[in-house]
Amino acid sequence: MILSTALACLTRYVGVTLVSAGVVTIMLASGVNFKSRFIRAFAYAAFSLAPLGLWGRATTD
Amino acid sequence: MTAPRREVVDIAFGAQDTNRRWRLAVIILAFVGAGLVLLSTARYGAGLSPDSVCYLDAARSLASGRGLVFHTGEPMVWYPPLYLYPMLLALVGLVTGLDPEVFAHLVNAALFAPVICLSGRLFKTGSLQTTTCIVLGVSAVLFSIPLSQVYSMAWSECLFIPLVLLYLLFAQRYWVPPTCCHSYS
Repeated sequence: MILSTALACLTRYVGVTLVSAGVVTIMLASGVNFKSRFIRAFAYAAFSLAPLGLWGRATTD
Repeated sequence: MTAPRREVVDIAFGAQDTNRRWRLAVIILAFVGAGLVLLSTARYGAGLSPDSVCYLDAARSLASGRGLVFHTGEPMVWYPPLYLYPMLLALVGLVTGLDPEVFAHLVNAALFAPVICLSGRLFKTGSLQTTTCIVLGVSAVLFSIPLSQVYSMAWSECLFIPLVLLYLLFAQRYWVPPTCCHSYS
């Protein structure tokens, strides 16, 4: 899920919307406690957006 | 008469007849989809828009080892990072030695087949999992006019759509109850 989101972000900027949708999806998942869901959602968002962030940093310097 | 006929179907397709049938149907439809894209672009190749020109520029410059630059020599810094679609075109260009404009429609056709397959997989995880429902759903995707328009153009959407479907396939594990999920083997 992280890989597909990161690649989608790298293909088109609109792929960023998948990150927010993914975070909501993970946070609403049943059967897991809130802390675990929060950590997973945060890790998912961080790793998905990392390539885009690196690109932004590289092109703005 | 229906019972013996059912037995014949079971013998023909084995114990997992339904599973095999929907997979076979989706694979056939994927080939049909790729064929339709090739048919629609056979005469003039992939359609070109201003964005397509940028993508082809990027693919050409990447294939020639000049990096991500426009034909004017200006670096591409505001377009989507890594430029995966032009990178794919550049990679195929490096392998074949052809100009990206020549084979862009072939890449699009190759990218449309996964859209059909992933759609079939998504329909399989839905509430109506019969082969007929899956084939009807996938056929709706196959003959979708907006999709056929997208895949007749040299656009990054051609790569973006399968990635979104892949994302949905992984994400649905969070919202589909475990009893409805199917193995990914």
